[in-house]
Amino acid sequence: MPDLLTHALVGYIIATALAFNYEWLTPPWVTIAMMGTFIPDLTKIKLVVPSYQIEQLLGVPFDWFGLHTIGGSVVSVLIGTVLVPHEYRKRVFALLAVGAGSHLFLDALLITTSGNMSPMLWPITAYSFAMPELFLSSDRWPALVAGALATSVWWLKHSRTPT
Amino acid sequence: MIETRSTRLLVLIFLAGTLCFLLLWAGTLGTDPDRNAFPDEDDFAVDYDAYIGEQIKTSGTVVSTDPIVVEVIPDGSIPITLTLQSVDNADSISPGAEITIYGILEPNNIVSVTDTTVRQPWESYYMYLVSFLAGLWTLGRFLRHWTVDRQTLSFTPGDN
Repeated sequence: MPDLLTHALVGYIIATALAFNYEWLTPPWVTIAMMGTFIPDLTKIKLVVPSYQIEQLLGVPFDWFGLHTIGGSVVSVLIGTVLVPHEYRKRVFALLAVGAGSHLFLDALLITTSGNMSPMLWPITAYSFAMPELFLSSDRWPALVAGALATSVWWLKHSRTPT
Repeated sequence: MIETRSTRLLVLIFLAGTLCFLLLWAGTLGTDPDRNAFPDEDDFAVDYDAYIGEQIKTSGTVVSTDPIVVEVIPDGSIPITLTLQSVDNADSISPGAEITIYGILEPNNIVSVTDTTVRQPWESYYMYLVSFLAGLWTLGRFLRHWTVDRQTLSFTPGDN
């Protein structure tokens, strides 16, 4: 991952930009897109409870990496979707999916030693494709760029919306 | 559909079960160089000789330079040390740095390096700090804008 600040800012930028076209997309809905960007990194539970400890406990194979994939993200997005009344479900599903999708897309562009992204298209395929490499997860500039863009889009939105 | 507490709980249990199934399935994948999933320390720590000459991926902490020695901790096991050979960016590697390594496993705990990425300890702290702040920011927005309905176990947006 780039840091989660970058991911959350990108969710904010996309949702706020979409709000120029969709009137219903008010701040509470922007928040949902931001929450969507956190979904793939639920896999970081592994830093607290490593996968192998669960394997030892259960006696069967187990890997948190499944959360950081298309499959894990779709199920997580559905869980979020079920947690709202039906009139909001389309919106919540779309915004969580946009957030989670932007996260996986950015993570596909991380610099890795082998030049391949993690197998995040699983379970469609477990193949790790070679991808262009843009940044390290600990680089500072992605958050700076995202922060500048978020500020710009926030300013544009507020200068156009009479309050 | 799925508006009452009981139906919602039922669907949530089903989805949680699906997620558990995915994570169990993910655990069975293993390594396969044909799809760029390379063996790591959890593999070669168990049977080192079987992986000699193979492309591996691993990560650890730099303990010394010249030669560069890295301490790698396999899951639930004792640390092992690897000596790196033919490192291009040796100048940027200092003791304490976190390093990920892609290279060929050689006999005697030596890795012939193809590429590395290096992260200083403060860079990790920075990453965790700003990620934590992003979590607080987003959680704060959610708590301000959304309310929970305990009767139906659902969340609804406020007015603004």
